[in-house]
Amino acid sequence: MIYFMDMCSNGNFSEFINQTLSKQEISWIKESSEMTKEGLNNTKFYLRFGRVYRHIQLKAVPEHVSTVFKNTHELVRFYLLTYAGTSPDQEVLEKLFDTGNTSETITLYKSLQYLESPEKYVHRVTEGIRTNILEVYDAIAYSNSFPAQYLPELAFNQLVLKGIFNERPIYLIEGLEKRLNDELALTAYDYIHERWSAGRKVTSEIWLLLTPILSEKHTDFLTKGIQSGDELQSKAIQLAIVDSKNQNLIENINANHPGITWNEIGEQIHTNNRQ
Amino acid sequence: MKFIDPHTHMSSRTTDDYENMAKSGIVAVIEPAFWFGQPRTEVGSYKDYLSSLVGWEPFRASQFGIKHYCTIGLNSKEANNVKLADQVMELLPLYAVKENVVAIGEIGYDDQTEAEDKYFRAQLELAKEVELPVMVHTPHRDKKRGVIRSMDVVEEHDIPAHMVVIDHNNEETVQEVLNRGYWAAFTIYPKTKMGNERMVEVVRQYGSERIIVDSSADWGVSDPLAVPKTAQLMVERGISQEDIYKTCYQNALDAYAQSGNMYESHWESVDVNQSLLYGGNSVLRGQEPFKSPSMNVIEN
Repeated sequence: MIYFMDMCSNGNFSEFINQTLSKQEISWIKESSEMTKEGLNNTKFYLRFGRVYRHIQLKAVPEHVSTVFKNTHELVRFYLLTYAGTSPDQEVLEKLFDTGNTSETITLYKSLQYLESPEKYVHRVTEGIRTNILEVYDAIAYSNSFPAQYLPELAFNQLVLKGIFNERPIYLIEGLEKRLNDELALTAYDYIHERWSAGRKVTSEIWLLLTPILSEKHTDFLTKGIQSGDELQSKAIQLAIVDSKNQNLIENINANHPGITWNEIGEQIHTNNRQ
Repeated sequence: MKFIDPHTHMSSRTTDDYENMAKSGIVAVIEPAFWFGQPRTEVGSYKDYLSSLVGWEPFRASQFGIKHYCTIGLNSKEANNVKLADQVMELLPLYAVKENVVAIGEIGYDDQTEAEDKYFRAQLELAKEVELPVMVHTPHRDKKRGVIRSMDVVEEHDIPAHMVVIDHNNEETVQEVLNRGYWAAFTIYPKTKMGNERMVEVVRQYGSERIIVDSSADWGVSDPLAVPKTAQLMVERGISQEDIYKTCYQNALDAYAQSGNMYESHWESVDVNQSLLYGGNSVLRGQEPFKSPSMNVIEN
């Protein structure tokens, strides 16, 4: 048996791993943690961390166990990082980030939210957002409390904008509504103009980002969007207007709550895309 | 027909190449760590290069439905920069254990200096330790003696011949390499190494057992379609389907599958995920995704 330390409130990890993995796999994990008792900053640990895929069968982790770690490799790597109940030294994590392949890098970004003093890794996550590898972006953006909690405004805004540019669901970014800000709104506002000038559409999700700045001076702009003939977009704009709480604007447009939430808008867009 | 190009430096190639390779039936590539043309003077640039072989480049290949593997090693040219070489040697174990690594390589001799010898041997020991096959680069100059010396050294280190691919062979070296039980790879590289008409004759004479065709396509005048083109030429010149299949696909798979990291299922279930990646932020910048490779077109 192996036990995940209580770094994350999710006790299901231990139960799942012990039930899912074979005796042989469990003993390999134990042996790996024994080998690194003295600390993680040694080649033995790095080799074990890298070789998880050779010793542990790849199996999906069900959602009721974790919405963060998707498979047994991710979960076992997380265990190796934290088995001693303490966070690895920054030096160790930096080295793992520097030399990681895609699947390791994904695990590291997911793990940060559970470590002590995650703010030490703001520079890493800021760099991670610059990735062009979709899976790495997703590991930072989704089921990850780190961005909303620790990223400075500029980096957080880049995460959201990158999601918009790549047509990724932004409603799944944790804490997005709390982190809305004027800078992000202004960039989104310019982006909509840019798209419209090029004769292109925008995702209806984007209207959420505008709520902090909307006022009566946007009446014509918003009316144009509502009249575009796209029903979901009309609803999203009306919702943004209501959310802006600007009474003059609400009256100008005669906006009513469209009876839909931002999550439902996001789900509609991205469920359709998947089909 | 499907092909594996078991020696190609995709970091030096364009997306057009990937697209044409996929169209021509190449399902998997192996990218050996090599000399990038511009010598590296800092270990950091070597580290980032190795990271790209296990991170960025497999991602790029996957957008075209091609499975990307690599080999990890300190090449013979840069082994001569001893200060750099020592630092690179410390890094290699970390990369050698990654999921898409199928060998230690390409290692061996270039000028056959003392430093090259030292790091070749050290990396043979590493290959034993991490239980990986070895891809041996053989020298351009003094080829024949270089090939023999490479095999002698492999044997001194007790590595069985079936775990070693001797690359860049020619008509003068093939017999001894095969006699001693090694895999014999041939690089179809315009002008300097082998033309593919000569390759056809090698297969006619020696058959297909343990013979592997590759392109070594890189930053020089080279051809990323060398494997499918050679296969096509073999068809035209009456080589049997079985010999073509073995030399342009199966032998490479058998040799490098000994790593435990290369399986046919990796590309038979490959999902071209380009359609998830359009927009301003992927290799494809707003272009139409390339749907699926045609297995029948062989451009020659």
